[in-house]
Amino acid sequence: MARYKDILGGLFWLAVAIGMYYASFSIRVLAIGSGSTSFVGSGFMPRLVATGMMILSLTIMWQSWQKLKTAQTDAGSNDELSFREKYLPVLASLGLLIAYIAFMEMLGFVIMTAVYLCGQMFILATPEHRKPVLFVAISVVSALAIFYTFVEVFQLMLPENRLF
Amino acid sequence: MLDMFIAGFASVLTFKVMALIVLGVVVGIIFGSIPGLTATMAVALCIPLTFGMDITAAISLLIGLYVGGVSGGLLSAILINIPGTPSSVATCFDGAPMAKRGEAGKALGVGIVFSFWGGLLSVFALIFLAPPLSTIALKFGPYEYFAIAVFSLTLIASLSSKSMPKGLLACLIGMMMAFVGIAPIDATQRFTFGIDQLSSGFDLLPVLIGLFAVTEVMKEAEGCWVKGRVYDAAKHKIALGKIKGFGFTLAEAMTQKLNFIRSFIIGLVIGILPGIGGGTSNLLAYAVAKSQSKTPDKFGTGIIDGVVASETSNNASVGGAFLPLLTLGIPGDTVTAMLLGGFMIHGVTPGPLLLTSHGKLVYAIFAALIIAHIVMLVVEFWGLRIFIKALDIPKYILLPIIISLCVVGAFGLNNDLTDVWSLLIFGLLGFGLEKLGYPLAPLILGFILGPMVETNLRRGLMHTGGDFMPFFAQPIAALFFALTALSVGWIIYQGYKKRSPSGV
Repeated sequence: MARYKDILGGLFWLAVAIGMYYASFSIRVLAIGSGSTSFVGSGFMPRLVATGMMILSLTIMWQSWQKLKTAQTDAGSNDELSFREKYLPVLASLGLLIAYIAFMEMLGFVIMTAVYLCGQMFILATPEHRKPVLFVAISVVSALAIFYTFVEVFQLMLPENRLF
Repeated sequence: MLDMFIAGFASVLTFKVMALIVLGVVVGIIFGSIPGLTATMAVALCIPLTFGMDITAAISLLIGLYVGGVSGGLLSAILINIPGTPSSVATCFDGAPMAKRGEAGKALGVGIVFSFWGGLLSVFALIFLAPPLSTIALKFGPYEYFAIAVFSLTLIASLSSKSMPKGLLACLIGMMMAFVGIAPIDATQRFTFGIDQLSSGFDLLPVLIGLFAVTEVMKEAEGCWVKGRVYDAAKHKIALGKIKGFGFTLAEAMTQKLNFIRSFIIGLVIGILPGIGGGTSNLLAYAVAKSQSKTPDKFGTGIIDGVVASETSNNASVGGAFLPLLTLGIPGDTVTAMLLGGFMIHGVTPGPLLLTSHGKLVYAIFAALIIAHIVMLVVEFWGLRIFIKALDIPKYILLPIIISLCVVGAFGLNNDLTDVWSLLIFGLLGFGLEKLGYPLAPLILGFILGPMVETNLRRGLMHTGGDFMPFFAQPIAALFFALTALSVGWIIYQGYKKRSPSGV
């Protein structure tokens, strides 16, 4: 899989570029200035950038293909961690971040920050470093300290619920 | 002039004003060093505190915040590889590898000292060159801005360390992300997919902290559940290293003369130009330093040249940004835009008449800027060991707290969760690009310069009725187009030279 990452990445950006090129035609063109300037409307730069992206992603794919053809021997040799082992904690962190932002408006900054901090510390720490009481204490104190510093001292608005 | 200067210093050298400058610098450094909180935010949040003060005290506090905020960004950039402010993005590239190697003290020392000199000299440039430089800056129209932006984009080549196509593609991805929102000139909505919150586009702050801070958390999480994995405290702990004074010798500093002068000029000029500031100048100065170096391959591995270029230029932009503000009433960057508000609240309108109508105040500002830089040097020197001590906190505790602070910073921009969602989107994008081996610096440069290219191209073509030739007829624009051609030629020549001896 890792051997094909440049080809897969190139394909992804090629698809994005084609999508952007296509979508740029739906940008509303307003008649501003003289008629001769119409070719640099709001769709001009997106089309130019999309074209560049298409050329570059194809170049990257071609270069990677050439490399694969010449070096076919070390097929997936030194990737000692499986995809699951490597990326499960990343996905867990991502899920936690999504939940943090999604529920912030409903539950308020303090509660969601404390929950996020605690959860993220558990994800990042190795089992022998996981100290639940310490993590909960740090999370609650940090969330309250951040909230009161910014809301009370700097008068910044942060999402609140009735409790916090 | 000398009597005005003395009067300016006299009005600043009171206990109250000095205390406010020290307070401003300390708070500024704290804001600058926390990713997500910037100098702009520090000034914005503290402006209400100045309502009851006289104007000298108020502006001195805000200047302290500005100077501290711009410089403080280097701390987190070096120590945790997350830029504290947009001005310190390039500081990460060499500062963080130096810290990892156990030279955190040296990297910080170099950053602090060159920030100081860059900033201080820019103040002297402000004092002595203000009128002629601002007159030149006023001549910059869409043609010149377009030419400068195009020239700056050619510098991406030197930021694309391993693969040129990947660097260029990253730049175009940055430009693509900047398309989201309202288009320049005709205000048409683009790529908002019917989501109202996207109509104002992505702000630079969530883009940056997403790309660096969220990506850092994801990188830290990678593979951390593997059985038998030991948390390597030594790997995560940043060694102060043996440090005397600022951690580097005079001989080392002297090797940076040319780099310093070049980066200072870049920082000053970028600072003077309205609309761009330290966020752009640090990347450009780094790119130029790398392209002009005899050992460009060493950039990114942890050499002081990269830190010198970035930190000199971002602080040089401080004096540069004040120049159009004081002489023309035009803010050079977001912080000086806030300061303009601060002036107006106290009944002073900056502009060409400021020096004659409020001469004493102008010189008090110069004095406050000089003193703020000296205070910044002293505070950061004494705080150096404390900053590093903060990193004794394990990364699994420190990083989540930093993310929470980033969320505060992103939310505080517009009191809207959309900016916090953008933080996440750019974090994911940054992690994906890192995994695919795409450099992030060109993406940031593309994001900043893309709108500048488009706006000024379209504005210029409206001026000329669609004719591109007048772009080349303006001397300043023509000079930058010539430099662009030279830069592209140089890149092609370098590429050819690299290939030819090995015959690849």
